[in-house]
Amino acid sequence: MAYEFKLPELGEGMAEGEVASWLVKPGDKIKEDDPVVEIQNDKSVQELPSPVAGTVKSIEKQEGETAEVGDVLVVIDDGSPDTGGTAPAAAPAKEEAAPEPAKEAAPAPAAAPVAAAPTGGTPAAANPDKLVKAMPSVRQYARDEGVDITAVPATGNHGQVTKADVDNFNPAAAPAATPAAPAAGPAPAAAKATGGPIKPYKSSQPELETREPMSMMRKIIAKSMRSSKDIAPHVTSFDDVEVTALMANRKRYKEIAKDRDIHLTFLPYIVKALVAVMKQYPEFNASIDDSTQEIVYKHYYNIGIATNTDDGLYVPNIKNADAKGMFEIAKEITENTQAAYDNKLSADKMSGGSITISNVGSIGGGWFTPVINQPEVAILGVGKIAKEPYVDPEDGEIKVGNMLKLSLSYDHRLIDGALAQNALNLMNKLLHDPDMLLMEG
Amino acid sequence: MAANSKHVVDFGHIKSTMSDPYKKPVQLIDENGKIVNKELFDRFSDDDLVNLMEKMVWERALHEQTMNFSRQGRLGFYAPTYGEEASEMGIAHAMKKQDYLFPAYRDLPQLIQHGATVKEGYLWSKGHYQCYDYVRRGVRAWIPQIIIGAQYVQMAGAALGIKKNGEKDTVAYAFTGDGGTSQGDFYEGINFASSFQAPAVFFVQNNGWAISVPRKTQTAAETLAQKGVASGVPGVQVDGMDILATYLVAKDARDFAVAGNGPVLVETLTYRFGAHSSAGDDPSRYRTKEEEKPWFDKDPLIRLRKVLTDKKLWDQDKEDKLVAQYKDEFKQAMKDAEAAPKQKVSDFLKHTFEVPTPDVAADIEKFQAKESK
Repeated sequence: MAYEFKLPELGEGMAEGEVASWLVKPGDKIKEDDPVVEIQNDKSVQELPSPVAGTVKSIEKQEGETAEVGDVLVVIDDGSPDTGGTAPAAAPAKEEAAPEPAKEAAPAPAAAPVAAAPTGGTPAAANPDKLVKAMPSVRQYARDEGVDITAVPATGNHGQVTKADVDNFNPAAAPAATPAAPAAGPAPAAAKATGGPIKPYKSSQPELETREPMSMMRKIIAKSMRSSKDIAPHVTSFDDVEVTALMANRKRYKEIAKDRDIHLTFLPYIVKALVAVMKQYPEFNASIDDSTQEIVYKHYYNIGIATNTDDGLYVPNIKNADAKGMFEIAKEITENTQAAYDNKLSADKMSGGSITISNVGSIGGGWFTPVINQPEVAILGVGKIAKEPYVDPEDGEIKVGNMLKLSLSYDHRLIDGALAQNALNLMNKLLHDPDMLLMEG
Repeated sequence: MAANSKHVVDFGHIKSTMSDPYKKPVQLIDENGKIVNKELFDRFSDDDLVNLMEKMVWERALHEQTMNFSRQGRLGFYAPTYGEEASEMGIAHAMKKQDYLFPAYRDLPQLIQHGATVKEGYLWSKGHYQCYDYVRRGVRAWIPQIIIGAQYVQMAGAALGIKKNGEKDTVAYAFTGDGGTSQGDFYEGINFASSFQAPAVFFVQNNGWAISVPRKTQTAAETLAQKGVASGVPGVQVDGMDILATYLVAKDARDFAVAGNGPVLVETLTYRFGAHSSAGDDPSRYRTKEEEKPWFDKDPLIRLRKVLTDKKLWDQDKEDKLVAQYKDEFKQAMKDAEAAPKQKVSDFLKHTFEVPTPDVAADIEKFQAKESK
């Protein structure tokens, strides 16, 4: 009898995790406690050690696949006999094994209705005897709102009814206690102002479409983008900067950097400029604590750089950028990018940021409206440097300018338009004249 | 253990003046392994020193192996003890078999040192009622308390019982963390025990963090030891990364309480090297590497290992062998825990009251009928 290593609940309320990478392959001999797999869960990666010694028989979840808690990850031949196993470790598993074959024989039909009910938001019939899982505060909330909690479809972990479920619940669509045909679709009038019900995507020509599950990373990005737009009223100010002198400076030092194995891009300049801007305008290096209605000013300068990888978007930040030199920053950016690609960024690297840079300039494009990386209050979008006609303010002549496109999104709860423009003006000054950067940075 | 002649801490003086005469926490060896108090250090024989080191190595091995079990999904709740070995083993070493222990959830190592088995520790984590079997063997300890600070009140009751029954050379111990000292139970416990001058020794293992709340925002009090003042309990701070200092202070505290002088409060200054618990806490979300670094330098094993190595009482080979031996024992304990009979609801209910209340009796009947089907 081989040992089935199942995904344990690695954090409270964890329902699933993505297989980040396998550290073993079928045929490998392993010892007890040898690390076998890395599981990614909410942006941090955990290494799981094997509970038994033996030979890896088969890998049941491939890299990139999402496993639910309890799913078999890997089968390990631990040499235990088929019947009357002496290894006590296997004993409890066997006791519970009886009902399992049925479950595993037909996983799809068993799982489908369960999954469809919450996401589809089809309300269950009200049933006062039904056992409902919900926190006391949610129960109270439902009572206050006049909602029968037994009729609310649950979307929370382990089938819990959440406050959002109560908000999204539409009693008009609920079938009567005696089974009747469910009402067709929620009545819009009854939908709550907050959030709104989760609407299924309905297609007129499904045969021309395919469906794929969202990866864990995609789900996390979707959730954080949506919540950022919910939390912060975004305003974006645009500007462009003439950066001929900056380009010359970078060209000059690029070679020196290269000798030291450092790849010097424009990003370190922008990092330094942002530090100077935040020193002048501390509102940009702040967060809002909604629970206390306080503005939290940060006395450190950790500049996040959005990093695009095949798996999705990461935002590692350069810690204490104010205390680091241009080359040091350039080096750290390269290292962070590599770590992001290798899936090796620690949570520490991605938390405690001051402000974020989103740079699409290397690909192209001009202005855009970046979404703030919560709980920060601003994000700087950097576009490409375009050759454009430019009126030199010194002599009034039209020249060919190298125009860098900047888009600054900010949280209007804290930052007003004039302040943002002042910040952009300073940014403009620093990037137009890199010598100024030396003075301020 | 050697010489009993002179006490390290004069609790009587602290109590009569309600001041803290110790400007610095008590320390015998500093983080570089330098002996800073030779007179006190010389009270320890070579065997004592090796014994204490072995206990810390045991606790660290227990932590490492238990973390693995946790990652393998073979345990329920587990609170890592990494970094707190000197604090926990120093105190455990001062306990006597007849003492009553009221641990919190991070105190499984002391509970096991006091007489529970590792298997019972694992059963506790898994929520199995057989974790409590040690009481049948006469081990005087409650199961680790999950409610923050609640054990302080329960322990005060036990200490009162010791006094009322006239038990000789016996005290009650309770442990909590820095966060626990903000609970009402903490104050109620020390006040009640003090009011009756009961033989109670209260420990606060100040590991810097109550999950994500740092010690400095926990309270405006300068030390947690001084919280005893309000209820007339002498308190003292000790370097909780120095097992020799922790042991001597714990021993003095016990001597003071046993002599009928009333309760004592000891704050050990230590650090939680890892996460709050195995339930998904990630310390990098609320504290920095820069903060952690100096504490890792204070690792209690490093300093005693250095002292012992200099005295040629210890080497890496010996330590590796011990760790391997301990880990094998823990693996066997886990297998034994996994072989325990599957818990039934009725089993659990039967262990709630010695004589079940009518409601519980009805429930036992109801569940037994279900389970026999």
